[in-house]
Amino acid sequence: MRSILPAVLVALLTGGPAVAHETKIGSLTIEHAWARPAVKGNSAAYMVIMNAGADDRLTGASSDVAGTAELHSTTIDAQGVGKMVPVQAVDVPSAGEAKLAPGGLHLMLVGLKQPLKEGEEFPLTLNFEHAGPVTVEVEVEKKASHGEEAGMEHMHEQPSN
Amino acid sequence: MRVLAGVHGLLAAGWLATSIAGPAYGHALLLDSRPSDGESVDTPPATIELEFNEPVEPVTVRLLDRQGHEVPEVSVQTQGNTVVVRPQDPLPPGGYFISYRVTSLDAHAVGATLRFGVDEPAPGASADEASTSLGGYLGVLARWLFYATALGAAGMALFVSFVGPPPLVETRVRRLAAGLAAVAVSAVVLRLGVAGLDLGGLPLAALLTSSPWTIAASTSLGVASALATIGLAILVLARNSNRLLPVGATLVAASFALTGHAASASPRWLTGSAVGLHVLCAAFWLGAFGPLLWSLGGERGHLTLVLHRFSVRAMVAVGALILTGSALAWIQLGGSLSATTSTAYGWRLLLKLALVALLLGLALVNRLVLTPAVATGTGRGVVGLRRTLIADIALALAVLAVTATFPLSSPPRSAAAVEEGITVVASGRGGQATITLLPGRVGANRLEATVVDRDGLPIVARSGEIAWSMPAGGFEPLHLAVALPLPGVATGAPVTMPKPGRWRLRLDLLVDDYTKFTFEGAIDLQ
Repeated sequence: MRSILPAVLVALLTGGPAVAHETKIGSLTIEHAWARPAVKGNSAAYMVIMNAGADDRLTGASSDVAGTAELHSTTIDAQGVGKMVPVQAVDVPSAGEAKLAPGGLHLMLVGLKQPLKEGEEFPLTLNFEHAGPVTVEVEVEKKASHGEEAGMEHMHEQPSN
Repeated sequence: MRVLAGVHGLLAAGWLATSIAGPAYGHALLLDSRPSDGESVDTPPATIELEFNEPVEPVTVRLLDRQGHEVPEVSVQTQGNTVVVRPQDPLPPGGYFISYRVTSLDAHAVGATLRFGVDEPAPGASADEASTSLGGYLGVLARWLFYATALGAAGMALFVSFVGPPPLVETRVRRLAAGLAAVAVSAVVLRLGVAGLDLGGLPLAALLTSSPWTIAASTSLGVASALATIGLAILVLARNSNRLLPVGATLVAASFALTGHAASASPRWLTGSAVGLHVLCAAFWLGAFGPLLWSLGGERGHLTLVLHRFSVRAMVAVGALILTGSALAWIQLGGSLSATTSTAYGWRLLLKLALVALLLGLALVNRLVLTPAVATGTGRGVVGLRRTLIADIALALAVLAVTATFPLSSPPRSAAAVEEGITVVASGRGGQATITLLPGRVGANRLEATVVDRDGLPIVARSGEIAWSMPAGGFEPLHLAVALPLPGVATGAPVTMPKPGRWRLRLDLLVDDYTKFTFEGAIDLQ
């Protein structure tokens, strides 16, 4: 009993099966890389990239599961019309982060060569300008688990805010 | 034991409930709003209501006008599941945004921005809608004035050089061509200034300062205006030289190839030359109506000769006009005929074509009926020609007016294809900025940025500034003001980036006196 209660309390305070799945390469930390399941066509991958070292830039990505992986983001022009546009690079500043999340910046996996099934994992290589190629394991999930949208280091919104 | 199990159970249930509650934009749902998103109401609403599926706690709720300025004296209350926003004073006519962020019972925040209009369309309507602002109408007027005077001057110059009217008419035409060219120069200046207002998001009063012109001068319109002015100057100063007049006219026509929607479709060498040729032929054809009208008073033999010379050359010019016009229209429509009836641009094009068809009909009448009538000398030919030529002049002005309205909406081809440009994502401590540079080439570029905070909600800022620099190329930071047309959207006036390479940027957005968002990034320009 005593052994269960602390575990439950810890789990409660950290919002569930949260702090899982991060990759550290050099001074870069890639947290919770996940992708949407898809049978064929395209899918999208999301993650949070944190940089504890010098300024870096994510310039592209590639994976064996898809023909190409492209960075895309949504823009809204002065008339309020939203568009999805390819992105040349994503800055990951020193002591900063870059967040790829649904509705905004994401990695589009174009031309899937194999279906992505929920629960599976596949490798994705991120190309950084200084850090070079960094491979992460991407989890296939139906949607981000609780708290992911706000980024891992900010737990879900507390009422006392 | 059982109590403890119960507590465990409760804790587990609580943990389970919060962990499967879903992403932040999930739990509280906006069911309805009054006014609804995108609605235009006739009278100012006493309240703006946001109805959710459960009771919510407002975190921030702001009512903003079209410029993004917060409407003062607005009270926010909750009544059950509904958030009621009550402006103290009735809202003046205009576009408004209601930007809200509320937390639901499970402490998830949701937010969005809705738009509505009072006695006006809601802001952020389809990009295809015509700009009904005063600046939009002024732009049409400035362009129409420029087209009529510049093409009139160029056309008359070409008439003198290639058709050779009788001496009395010739003097009159030369003088009028020079006069029109002089007026056209002021039309060039006006057009540039009005374009600068639009590019920089400036109010009409800014025309009294130099800013609209400095802004517009750095764009392709600036270069086109310079070339047009040179051509027009030649038409004024070299009015008696039959060799230089065509040069001036060609330069004026060529200036149209340097700017505008039609000339920027790819391949540019094709569309640019097509536009230049199109304008030159149009100038010759339309600019001849006046001189022809004046030639009617002269001696019959001379008149017959002039008519004959004109119609031979006009056939070539009209043929080229139709060919280039069709090619350009096809490209602009994005290769789809259905766009003619489904877009504002398409309707304007159809109207122009109808007017041109009328002109062609009159031309046929002139050629086949009235010109031979002149030759037979009954006098009916001259009377008939006088009528048709006056009608021709009126139609020509109408065609030019419709053409002047084209820039109000984007041609369908740009709706079909993603506009070129370079986009990068810059991060800051407060959020993320997706910054697009258009067209993303060495030269003049304008900026569009979408800025969101950590939760992905648009950042509503009061003012902003962007600084461009290229330390490696020796460019110190170039500071530019940034317009904020919509929440989360920032646009920058065009800036000339003369060198390829990596340009560093820093976007500062001031939300209020205490809060500033800063984004830093870099764009590689080829």
